[in-house]
Amino acid sequence: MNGRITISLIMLVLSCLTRTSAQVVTIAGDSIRIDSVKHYRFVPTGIRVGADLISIVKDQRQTNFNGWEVNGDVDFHRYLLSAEYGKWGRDLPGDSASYRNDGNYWRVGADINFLTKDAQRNVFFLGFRYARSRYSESMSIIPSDSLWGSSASSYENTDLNARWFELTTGIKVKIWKIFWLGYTARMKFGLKKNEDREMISHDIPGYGVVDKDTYWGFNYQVMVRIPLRPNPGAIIPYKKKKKK
Amino acid sequence: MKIVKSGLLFTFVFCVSSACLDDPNCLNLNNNLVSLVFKSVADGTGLSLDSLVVTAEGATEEILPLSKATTVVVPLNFLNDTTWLTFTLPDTTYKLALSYRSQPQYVSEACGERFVLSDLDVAAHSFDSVRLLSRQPAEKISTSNHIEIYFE
Repeated sequence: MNGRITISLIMLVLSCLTRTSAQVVTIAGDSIRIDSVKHYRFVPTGIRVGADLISIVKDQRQTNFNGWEVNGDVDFHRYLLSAEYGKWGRDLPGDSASYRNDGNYWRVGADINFLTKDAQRNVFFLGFRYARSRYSESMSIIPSDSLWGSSASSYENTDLNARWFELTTGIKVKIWKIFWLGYTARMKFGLKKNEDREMISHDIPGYGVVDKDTYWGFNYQVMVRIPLRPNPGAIIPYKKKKKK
Repeated sequence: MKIVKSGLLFTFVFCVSSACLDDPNCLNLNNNLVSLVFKSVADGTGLSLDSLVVTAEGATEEILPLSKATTVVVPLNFLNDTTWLTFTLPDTTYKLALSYRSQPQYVSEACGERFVLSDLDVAAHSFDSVRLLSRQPAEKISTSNHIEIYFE
């Protein structure tokens, strides 16, 4: 009798969250399985926000890099909508040439989760991103040539824009309660940037060195997940109350 | 758990492989070489010029003091957007002005900068005829020619 009341309460709460008719619930042993209903597909199961640890460590330890990156995703169980935003600057001094750039970038995209049956909601994903960057750069050089001599010059590009695409893969693993760790590997391609400028870009924030047609990137992220509803297929343990 | 372990292994392999970055080659970074071939107006065959001396305005030395030349490769002044060349033969002198776009680019801390030349064009000449074949100067000497110079 008490078990039936508990199930009824769960069904009532879930129906209030989705404003739809009651979902199917099956009971096996000492757990409740929440079966999926098609109109749950567009209701997120949770929201994750985090930061990239590699950017933070590089910013602290490398004198020629400053930057950070934050990321977020909306978990629709099978699919995730993802977005990232970051800031990136490089300062490369040298005897005959020095270079500096500074800018920000963002990425948006979607991932497919291949671990939909995982009780901990861990994620293994493949995805796609569209990325854009806005930046400025400057360079000072003293080129020297045996035939043409040498001369000192300075160049500057401002209000530069670039866009590219990414194929992504990675994992997100629940560590403790709402805290998650994960990584994302990226293959960047399809770079398009301003061409008609005084100097040719060397490095684009968010992308990397422009001379490469494809560029690999890697992020190691720490995240917080805010649950919104149980995953379809989630198994919730409950304890039967002992009959007196 | 298996997937997590596989993921960690992938991470390790990825980090190791990404550490093997290409070191840039600091030699011949500028693509400022232009190949000129001499031909006869009458039949278009190659001409061999005796005692040809090629000099360039702004250069610290002669480019090519040659005894005989059918094809010559000249370096363009990447610090400028025009190079004036003078071709001195025993009985006459010719001038050729080549214009181009020269854009600097930072390469690395080890290599410094390089200059990328493009949009090569013949701005002026005193030859009988000149024909532009390619608008992209080269980084190294090759069999492809950029400009044909015709003599009567």
